[in-house]
Amino acid sequence: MEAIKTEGLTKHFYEPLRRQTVIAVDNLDLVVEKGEIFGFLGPNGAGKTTTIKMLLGLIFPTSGRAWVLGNPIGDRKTRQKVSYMPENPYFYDYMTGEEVLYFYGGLFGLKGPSLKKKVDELLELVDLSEHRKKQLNGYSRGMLQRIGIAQTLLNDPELLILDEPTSGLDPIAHREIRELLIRLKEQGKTIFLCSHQLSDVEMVCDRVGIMNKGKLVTVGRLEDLLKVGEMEIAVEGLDPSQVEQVEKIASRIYKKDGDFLVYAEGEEKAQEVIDFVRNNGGRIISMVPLRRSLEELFVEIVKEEG
Amino acid sequence: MKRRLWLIIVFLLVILLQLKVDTYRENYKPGGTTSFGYISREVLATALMGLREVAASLLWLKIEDYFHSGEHEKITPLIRIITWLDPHFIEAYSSGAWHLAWNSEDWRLIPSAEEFLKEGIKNNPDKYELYADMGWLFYDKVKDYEKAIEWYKKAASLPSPPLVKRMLAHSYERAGRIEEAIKIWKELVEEGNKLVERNPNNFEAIFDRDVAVHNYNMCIIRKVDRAALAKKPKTYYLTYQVYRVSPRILQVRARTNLPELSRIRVSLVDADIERRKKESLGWQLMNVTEYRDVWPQVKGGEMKTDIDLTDALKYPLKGESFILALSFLPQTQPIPVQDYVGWLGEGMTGKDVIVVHTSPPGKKMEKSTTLTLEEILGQQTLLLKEVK
Amino acid sequence: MVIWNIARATFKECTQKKVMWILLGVALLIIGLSFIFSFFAPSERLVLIKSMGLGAIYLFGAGIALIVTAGLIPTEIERRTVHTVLSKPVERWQFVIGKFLGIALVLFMNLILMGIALLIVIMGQGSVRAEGFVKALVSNARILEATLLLFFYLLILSAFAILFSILTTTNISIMLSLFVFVVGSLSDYVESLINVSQNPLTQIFLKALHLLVPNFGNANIYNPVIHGYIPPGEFLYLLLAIAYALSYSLILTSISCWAFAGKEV
Repeated sequence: MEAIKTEGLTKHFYEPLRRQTVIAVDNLDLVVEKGEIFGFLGPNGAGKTTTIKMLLGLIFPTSGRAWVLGNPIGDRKTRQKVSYMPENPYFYDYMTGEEVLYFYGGLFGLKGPSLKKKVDELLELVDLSEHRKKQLNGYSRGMLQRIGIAQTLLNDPELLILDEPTSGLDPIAHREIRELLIRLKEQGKTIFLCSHQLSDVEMVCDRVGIMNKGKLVTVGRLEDLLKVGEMEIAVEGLDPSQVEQVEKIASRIYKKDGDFLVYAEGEEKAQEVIDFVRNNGGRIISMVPLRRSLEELFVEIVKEEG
Repeated sequence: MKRRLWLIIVFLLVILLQLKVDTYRENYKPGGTTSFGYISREVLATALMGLREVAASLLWLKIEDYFHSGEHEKITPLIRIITWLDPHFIEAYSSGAWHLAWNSEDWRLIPSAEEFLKEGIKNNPDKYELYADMGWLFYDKVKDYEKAIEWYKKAASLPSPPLVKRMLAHSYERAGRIEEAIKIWKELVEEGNKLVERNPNNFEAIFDRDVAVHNYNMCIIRKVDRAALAKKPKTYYLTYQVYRVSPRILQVRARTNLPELSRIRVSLVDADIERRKKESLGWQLMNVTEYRDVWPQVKGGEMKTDIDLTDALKYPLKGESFILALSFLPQTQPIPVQDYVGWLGEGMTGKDVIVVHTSPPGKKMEKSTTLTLEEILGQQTLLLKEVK
Repeated sequence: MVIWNIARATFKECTQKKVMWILLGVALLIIGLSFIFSFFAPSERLVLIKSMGLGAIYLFGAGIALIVTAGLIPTEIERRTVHTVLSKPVERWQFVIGKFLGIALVLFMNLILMGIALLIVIMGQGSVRAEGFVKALVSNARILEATLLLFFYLLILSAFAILFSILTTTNISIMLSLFVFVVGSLSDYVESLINVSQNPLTQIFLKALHLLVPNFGNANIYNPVIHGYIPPGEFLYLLLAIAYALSYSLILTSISCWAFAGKEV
């Protein structure tokens, strides 16, 4: 059973002022497996938040179907096992930090000492224990973000849908959240992570999907997506004539103080290079498969799409 | 479908409930009917939005202004609106009726005052005030003591101050029903004694009791004195002349041997006044002429008074002929005069004295003559009629 | 449980709103300013204090109901607080009912405060205390009866404001609800017009209007309360009038729940 599955999920918005229909999500097929951290990327207006809102039953698909934890979207019982943190979360700012958690806990049907214990734990976790009696309108952006994360953990969820969870955080809190995400994953939870912080995604996500203009452009394992197929092989101890021969096999070569960086396209070519070097008395210093950064991939895709 | 059914069922329930609520709504609604001629838009809006009683009180203030500025004609319609807005504003009925009967000095409005009080009584049947006002209207203004008794009886049967019962006793006495008057004074004395016993420092109760004792004693004395009058009645006469002083101003000069300070009622009304009154529905009786004066006094065997009809609004003189009447009504006389003639004229006799078949039977003097419109409107000063 | 949670949060939210306290403050000020009637005779002054006070409660109660209610759900949507709530295991109808109950608590608190303030002012009048404190308190407690009846009718108004605010915007909701309130307040006059009118078509129209529009006028039992007498069958009247208000609110709230269930937030 998948944590999230959509089939041809589509959402049109009618904009009365411009008298036109905007296709926010276009025929989205997406599968998020249980237990993985799925990074959901895309520029602003790509349809990420619209997709999330459909998954949570806040808005309704124009066409297509979707399931969350095996149940069709809009099912109340499913939401018991899901938690959501919206982008730039706004909470009832007349409540104090602990009141908000008590309130949301109540919505999950928690009460009494177990709720109190949970609230205490979570406030400790997000380091807000000393501000628990303070009204939210006195909280900084980072504190609000941390309360937002705390409230997603109230119900011990199977699936967390997080929209920009690390924006507005200082570097230390940022790292703590990142570690928290990994810890949650280790507990077997599924995390659907929307983020602009590509470094976060790159560091914690198993798979990513990239949306642009309502369409899912790319989806796959992060390693697969970032792999470009080139090997960077550092070589030493070859004389120049031999280097010329290597150049024929490799796609390009950089010379540096008698060392060479040989780039080989594909595994076969790489093996050929390695064999050649070994047979001719050279030494392989290092061998690194080349990867793009996620940022490069992202920019490339968005540019391609225009 | 289920939803629609649900809505329809609940809505039918709502309609049923409102229909049922409407049957009780009478108790809370504005009373009677009225026109909005004199009401300002602000007050109307106040009234419409549920602040009816505030609007009524604000209009009540306005009446004060009209009264002081002398715009009397605006008062009555305004009071009608006040009682419509707040049918339990007793003060408004009370003073509205007072305005009509006394303040306007227009005898044609007395039936209106009576109707108005009746409406107030209909809306406030459990309060003594308006019954007592009705009693006072008949006692003081109309001088119909039987009717005054009727209303004061009703007032006294409700929780009310001792004054109401005292007025009932006075009404009985004026009506010549002296035994009943004595009975009530006796009751009042007993009630007063009880109150004073309970609290010897209650000065109000002491005063009320003493008034009752005094009146009780006086009634007993008069009962004996006046019983003697009937045994040897005195012959009285009344003659008069009617002069025209100028157009619409007449003068009556009467000669009589009635006791000093006797009051002669002078009236001049349309010959067909009853028909005219019936025809003029509503508040303004534009076609009716009704002049009455109850105050002219006998001084030194003579009575002289002017009948001033120059106010053409009050005295339209629309008919062709009018009846001028001078009457001596023993019931209405001041007590010193009654000491000579008795409550009901027992001490009177003579060819000018008429027997009135009331219960108990009474006597009165009444002499009338007919005047034509020309006679009243003519220019030169002239003796019009001589009534022997 | 969920509903109660939302109701409590709504109550808390409303009591944090300045506008509610300002309206309540002005109403209490008007109720308290009764000494300006000192030039009236005591009995008239009492009538004026009671009628002004009850009138102020009527208008300001409605004002609070309108302004506080109409903004409630649109604000949640605008500030996106609704997302975190509805993504929890909360049904849409639970959210609407919770909001409605929260408002009911707010209105109840406001009306009770205003009613008690008026009662205190009335008891402060020398002419009232003269008849004995307990007796006066009992007879004037009917101020609270009228206020309580008004509470049920303001529920209708709030139910309208909620419905209109789901279908339109806060401002349009306030205007529409105000319109309904004014028309409904005229119910006694509409009913009277039915009898005055000669035209059967007009009569049918007025009767239909009378039965369809929420009759806020039903809450106006002020005349007997002001003059301190109890009309026959008042207890039954109160029961019927309350049942009417609750049924009407039920209809509106049902529609609100369905409308909100289909609303994209």
